Amino acid sequence: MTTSSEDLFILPEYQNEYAGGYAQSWATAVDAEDGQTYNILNYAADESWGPKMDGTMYRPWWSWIHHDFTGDGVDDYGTEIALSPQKDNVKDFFDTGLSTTHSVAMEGGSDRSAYRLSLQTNNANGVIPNSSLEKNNLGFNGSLSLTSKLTSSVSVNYAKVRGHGRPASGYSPSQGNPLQSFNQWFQRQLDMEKLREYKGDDGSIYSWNSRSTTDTRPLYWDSPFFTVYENVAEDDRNRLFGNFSVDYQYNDNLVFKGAVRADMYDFVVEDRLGSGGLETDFYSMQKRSNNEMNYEGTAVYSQNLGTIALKGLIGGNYMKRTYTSNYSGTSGGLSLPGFYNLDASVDRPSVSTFRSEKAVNSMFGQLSLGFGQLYYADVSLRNDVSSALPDANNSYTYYSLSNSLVFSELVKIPFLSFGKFRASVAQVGSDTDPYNVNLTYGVGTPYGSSASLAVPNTLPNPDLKPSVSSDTEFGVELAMLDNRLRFDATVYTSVKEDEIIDLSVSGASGYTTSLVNAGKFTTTGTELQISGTPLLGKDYSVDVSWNYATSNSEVNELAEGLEARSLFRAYWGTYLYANVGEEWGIIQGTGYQKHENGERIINPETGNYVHENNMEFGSVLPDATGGFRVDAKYKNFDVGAVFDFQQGGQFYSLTRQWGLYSGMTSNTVGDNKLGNPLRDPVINSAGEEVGFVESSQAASNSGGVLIEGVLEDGTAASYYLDAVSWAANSYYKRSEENLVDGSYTRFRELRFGYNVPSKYLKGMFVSAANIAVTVRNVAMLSSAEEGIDPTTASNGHGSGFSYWEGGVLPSTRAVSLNLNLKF
Amino acid sequence: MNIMKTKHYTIALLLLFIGCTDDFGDMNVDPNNPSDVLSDLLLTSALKSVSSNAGAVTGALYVQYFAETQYTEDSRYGTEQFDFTSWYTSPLSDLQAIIDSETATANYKAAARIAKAYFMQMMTDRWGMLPYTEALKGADNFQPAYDTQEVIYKGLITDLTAAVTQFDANSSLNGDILFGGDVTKWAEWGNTLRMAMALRLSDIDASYAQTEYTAAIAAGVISADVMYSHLGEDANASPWYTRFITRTDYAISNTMDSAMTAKGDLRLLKYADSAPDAVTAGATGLDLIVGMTYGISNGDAGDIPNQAISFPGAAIRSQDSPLPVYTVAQVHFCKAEAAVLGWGGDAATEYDAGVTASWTQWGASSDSLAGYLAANPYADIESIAYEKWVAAFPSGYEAWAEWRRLDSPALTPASDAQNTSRQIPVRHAYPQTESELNADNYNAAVTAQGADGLDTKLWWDAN
Repeated sequence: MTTSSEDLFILPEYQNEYAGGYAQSWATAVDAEDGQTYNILNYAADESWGPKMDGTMYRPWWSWIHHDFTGDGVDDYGTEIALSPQKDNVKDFFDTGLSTTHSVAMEGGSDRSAYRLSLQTNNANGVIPNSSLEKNNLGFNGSLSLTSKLTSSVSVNYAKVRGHGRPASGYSPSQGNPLQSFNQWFQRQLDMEKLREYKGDDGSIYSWNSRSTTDTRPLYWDSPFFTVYENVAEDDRNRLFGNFSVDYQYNDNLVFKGAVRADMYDFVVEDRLGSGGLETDFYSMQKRSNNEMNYEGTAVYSQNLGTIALKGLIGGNYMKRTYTSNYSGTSGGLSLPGFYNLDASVDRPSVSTFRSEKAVNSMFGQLSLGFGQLYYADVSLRNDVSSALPDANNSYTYYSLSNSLVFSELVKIPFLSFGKFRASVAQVGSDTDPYNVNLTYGVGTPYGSSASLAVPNTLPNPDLKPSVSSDTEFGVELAMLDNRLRFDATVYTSVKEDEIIDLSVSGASGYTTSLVNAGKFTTTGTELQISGTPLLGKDYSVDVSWNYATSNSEVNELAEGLEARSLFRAYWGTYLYANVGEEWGIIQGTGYQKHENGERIINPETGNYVHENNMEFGSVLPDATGGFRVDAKYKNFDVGAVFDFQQGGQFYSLTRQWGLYSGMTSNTVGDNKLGNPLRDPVINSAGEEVGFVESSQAASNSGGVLIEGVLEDGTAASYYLDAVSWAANSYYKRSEENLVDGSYTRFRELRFGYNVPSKYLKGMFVSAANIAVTVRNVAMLSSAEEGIDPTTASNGHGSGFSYWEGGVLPSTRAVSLNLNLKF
Repeated sequence: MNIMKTKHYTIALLLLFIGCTDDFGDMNVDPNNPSDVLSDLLLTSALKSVSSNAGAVTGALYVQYFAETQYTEDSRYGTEQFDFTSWYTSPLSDLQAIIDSETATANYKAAARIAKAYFMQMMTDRWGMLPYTEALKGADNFQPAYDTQEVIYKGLITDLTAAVTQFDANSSLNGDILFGGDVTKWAEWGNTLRMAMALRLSDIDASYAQTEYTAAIAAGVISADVMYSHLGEDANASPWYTRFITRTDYAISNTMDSAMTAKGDLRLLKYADSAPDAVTAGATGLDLIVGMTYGISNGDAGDIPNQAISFPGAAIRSQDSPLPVYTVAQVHFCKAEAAVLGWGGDAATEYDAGVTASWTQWGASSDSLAGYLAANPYADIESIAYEKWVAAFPSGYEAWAEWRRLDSPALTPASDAQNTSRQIPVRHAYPQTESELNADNYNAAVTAQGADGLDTKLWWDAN
């Protein structure tokens, strides 16, 4: 049983000096109900360049609505409050997440049968309000010997996952993303408690972002609570997988096996956009089903000849996968507000169905040889024939070869208790998805009754062939001083050839991507682990372990004549490329134009830096990653700590880009070199307010941000630039400014455990008991930019690398209590 | 050997043979998408993109039809690189599939060639040199070279000339959401495009321009406005409607408002809605329209409340508002201009006819038309340029091209311009991807044409 609670780990460093708006001067409005004039903020703004939060009395957004926002039973229309900071407003939005896991397993059997049943349930409420996840797993394994030679086994697993209110992520998803708002588009003075009141008694919808004092419809943002309580997504996944196999022990050496393996799931996703909000209300349901069956037959021969152990295997497999999906969504809104059903679609609903099938036939063989404890070798060969490849190229064969030699068995070396070399080469062939071979036309949205059909953007390829990945690995394992000091090192090279990718091409060809067998990519790397047991006694022990990995990926060749591959495009023109002859994952975008002397060039017409398009900023990949852990035990207590780190690498931060642009983060406040608030107006020596001024001409009371660099001719120059222009013009579409170093060191986990001594368990039904407290994400010890967690920069579109960050769910710190009982 | 043994070997062999077939039949034939070239459906798909050009924003900001209400970067020339990819991959590749098809009939091919010329002209008017002769060849050329604007323009004119003769009135043309299958209208539109293209070359290659212009007029240009009809459904709504479903980013500009109000131009009441504050204050007539200040910083713009300004009018902002593709008024102004160039015709007559056609098109109260014409009669090329600018509303890219060629009406660049020159852009920069994915050809084009920025003049923009 495990119970854990989750809280926010890292949030951006917000500024708490200036309120929402675009200018520091106060605006006023006349209230038609009492004819009085009041200070107001620009509620329609979703930036925080507004007035100083200095306690000035004003009318907040909710004071223009006849509703009880304060919970005192009185209409709050007309309320004036002091403009003061709300340092924790973002934090106040979040709940404390709570997760409970129960698991039970039962096992037993007889001399002819074995039985194991396990059950696990997990219920979690996320830190985002109204989000929950429910997981249930049921597993059964059993085997039965029908005769002395015939054994059948069955394994069935059922997994059910139900998600409610899964939070939105990324930039500008239509359902609204509160995180994107808080970190990128918000007003810093907002009191989160008032935003909870997003719905009036008459069903009216309220938001902080009202268009004006008389038009309270939101301009850009619904209340974040509207988003999480009304735009509710639900998903339900049911997965059933398992196998049935029969083993026939023909004689002492030979076993025939037949197995059927099945893996099937149904996944239903419902999406909603609530009625009365910013977006047109909407409902959709998508159902996806996947069914994969494998039928396998093998014959295994094994024989021991003294110290030599031999094992041979030969077999065949047939795999068939069928995938279907069915999507239907409303269009043009819901005719009956709040009725989330396809029937409510105002326009003709949009519907689509998809079906794909794929089969792979395989034959394989394997030979293993063991020579006592000294030497092991494995050789395997496999042939696959795939339905997804063109008939002429659909068969591919690959192999593996691995060896290991425990040389400490051969020669005795002082201090060395164990020593092993290992070496392996392996190839893996792979195919592609169905329907990547022949050109078909995509069905588009019809125009009235005219159907439409379009040439696809990805050009299929009738000449595709299988791709091959070859891996070579060498390793050495050493243990010294009676295993008190251990050492494990690996070097590897992975070469991917003819990888089937949709290679980006010039759009002027009529296609954005083309399916090709793309040349060659090489990854080389080193992994090192040193661990030891510095202290060891009867009652205590201390283990430490340190690991370090480096890798380098290079693009050797792409397709004929093509030198660049666009991997991804983030927002605002920041691209990721893999270019021939370069390290994989180069960021390209707009940056600062530099003079030959390396300094940034300033345009004297704007007082700001000159930018340059199409600049390359190096790879996103880290130089090294690794970790460190310590585990200590004393009697029945144990304590463990885990640290991890990354050196180098970089990512593009939307939080940084928009946090600056909209004046939300702490780097938009403070004093300039003249000792004046940088948000104060820029003032020249004549005492006039200007947009920018050469620093030597600035008045001593001038605000503005100091811009330092050179003019086009290389002479040094510096200007004070108005803070809003600086933030908007420097950070908008400027990739270089928003790249953040990916290096970090994190205290990832701390664990305390206690084994309840068996003497306390006497007389209970419990044979063993263990209690543990674990803290995950203890502290970020170092990172390039405070408030931005580099580990959340993993928007790699499923490809497992960090490239950009923004609007993601903040990382959380979880404290969990685990109780493990054995009966 | 006994029977049992044989049986076991048979089972084992059977299991192994499962893995030995390699005939999957039709398994890899996509059941979700058709593989035949269906010309009518491809034509529909391509023509839907006409709406994207007719309702495009950026050009309409440069010529100051509209002003951004909050995020004013685009009206301050903050974006340099614009992506042309979707024009090639969406309408043009569909049209090229028809043109290259062995089964498509002549009518489809002719219509596809005309529509291709329509899109290509808009594109070269934005970016200048572009892949044209080597474009749209798929796997045969993933790195197409850029052609000069002269090659593109003259190629399009040649193609249009041939296409209009290709139609067969006895054969069908389905999927035509622009002219309902009327091939005569297609030919007239083709001639009109040729006429407008020829006139655009009047500064750079006057004799060629005159020859082509005269031939195009003789072949017969449009006599009714070419409009793109939007439908009363979100999927085919006017882009000006879609933009306002959740946001309020564009208002009529103060430039447009003050110019038209000064002349008593009632079309303004169709172009824009009344400003709520003006209604409250009891304003009447053209004073109901209040333009949004153009080209100011985000902060300054954000402090102007929505109720103080006029948003685009219902004529373009309803779900099913049609948008002009090319109008009779524009044809008359081209003829007026041709008269000024000495290519024949009477400038004042065409000017009056153009203004009249435009007032009719917008349904502006005709009672005031005579007074308007009397107060604002034809004077010179400037007066034509001004009326051309007003009449082309809201076709931003067309108006921007004409403004660059005629250098009139005088427009003041955004006061808070973000580009280095701080002038109104005369070009769009190529998409970032070209510098990597088509690097050699991109570099050659930049060398031939000039810096890849907003300030490099196009070939036809000679003076």
